[in-house]
Amino acid sequence: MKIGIALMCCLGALLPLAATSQPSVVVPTAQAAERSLGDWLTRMHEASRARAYVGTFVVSSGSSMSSARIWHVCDGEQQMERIETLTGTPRATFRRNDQVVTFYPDTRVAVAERRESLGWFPNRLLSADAAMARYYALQALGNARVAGVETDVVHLQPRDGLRYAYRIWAEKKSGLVVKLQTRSADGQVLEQAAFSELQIDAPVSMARLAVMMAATEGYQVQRPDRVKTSPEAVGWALKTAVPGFESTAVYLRPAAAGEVRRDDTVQWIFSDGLATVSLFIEPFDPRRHAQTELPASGPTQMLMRRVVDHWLTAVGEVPVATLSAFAQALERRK
Amino acid sequence: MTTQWAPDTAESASALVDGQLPGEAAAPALDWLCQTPEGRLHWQTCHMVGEVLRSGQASSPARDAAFLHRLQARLALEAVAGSPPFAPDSIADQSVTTGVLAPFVSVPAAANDALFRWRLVAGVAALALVALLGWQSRDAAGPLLAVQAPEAGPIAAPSATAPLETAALGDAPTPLRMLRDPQLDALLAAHKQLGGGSALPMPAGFLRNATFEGSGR
Repeated sequence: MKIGIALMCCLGALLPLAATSQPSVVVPTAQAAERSLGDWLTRMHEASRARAYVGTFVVSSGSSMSSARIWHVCDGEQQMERIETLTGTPRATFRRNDQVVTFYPDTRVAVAERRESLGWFPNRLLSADAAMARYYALQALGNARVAGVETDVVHLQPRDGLRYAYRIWAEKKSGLVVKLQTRSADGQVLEQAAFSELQIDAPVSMARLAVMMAATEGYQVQRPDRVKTSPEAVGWALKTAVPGFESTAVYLRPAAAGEVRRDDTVQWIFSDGLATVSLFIEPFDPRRHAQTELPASGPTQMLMRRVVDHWLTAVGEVPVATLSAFAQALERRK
Repeated sequence: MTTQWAPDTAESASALVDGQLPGEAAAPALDWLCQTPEGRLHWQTCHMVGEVLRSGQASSPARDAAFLHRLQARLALEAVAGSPPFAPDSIADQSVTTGVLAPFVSVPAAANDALFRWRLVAGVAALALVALLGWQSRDAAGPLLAVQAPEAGPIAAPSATAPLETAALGDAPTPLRMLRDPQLDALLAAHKQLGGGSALPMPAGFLRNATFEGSGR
């Protein structure tokens, strides 16, 4: 593990993005300091709606690192995106607003789905702002240069021990997020994602992306058969709420024929506006369900518990204590 | 990058000297430079031009030719002996009975001979360190890095340590790989896909999940 960390340090040093992990010039501009959390988030969302760009995106988490080539375009109403991974299994993800198609050229499989949670609803943002300000303190850290552009740096420090800190680098003019760090309470960087190279206002053809996204010929198109439901309908509840986290969605994934699972799996999703927790609940099976905790990779933690005759797998970009709080609060209402 | 380099032109050799020749085109240019007298002359001229431009002084190419000649003679001898130039056993064996090191005897000892010996020691030590690191990371990662373990102790041949080193660099063990439970991997993937309820600026969260390949699929 130590070797892994050392290697990450070496790799990190090779990347230009690591060079700016501390903002070099700490001169908070009056404008940057005055913005509220809501202003920041709205600006960042607007940036993705109003700008076209092409770039290389790098994510390093724990001891692994991934990168992808990004094409992003919008016409005021529609956003389109193409993400082609440069590491690991080749895959290309296309997104038109909340419609997402992922192509796996090796297996000739294309997964088409709708991602409701990709919310770009200004109303939701505003309500999230008030709640988020109770759990995160905003701090402007000045300016830094990332991927060749000048950015404002903001830090979101959690006010309790149930979440991680975030540091965001947003391009000065547009507010486009060019770098993002997830940090532990003691300031250790758990994950960072950044553009290593970025061309803003690049010519990207929406029509061409649309053609590529629709080119599923020769691919077996799969549509995830999950059903949106409610906690009441699946018979689960939380005895006590985990501070700051609100239920955002519940999905039921039916067990497919021939699968190891014998019954449906419930996925109950919570969010505090920045961090997300998924509770997966399935019938307990002593042959498969024994492990109770797993070493974390980057910010993502996992925790397993037996809850009556069910098995809970809690996953989230939160400290393990938060997952424990969820596990203790979960109860059967059926 | 689409420029086609003719292998026997002085132009491609100049580009090679400047470090501007793309990888696949370098091989024929190198062949030309190494195997033809005109090539060698051109190589020297290119460097002389560079040196004059840098320092304003020219060195005699004749001296270089003499050096090259001696070097080639020695290289030829070593090739006959059929032993890799820096194999640990040839380094350790100082008895000069194989003839490998014989040419060195006829030449007056270079002023930096002692330094050269120290470099050899440092090289062997570095190899040992690489082998040791490879060994440790192999232990840590289990079957992932089960690539030919050096059985001969810490000092292994370079050919055996090289794959270990690259394996350790390129395939750093990730805790997630140890899961080996497709069901858990599927849950993790489902969390990443649907857990996008973040208020974080959308491309960032979505890009992160589309880019990041946790435990592979």
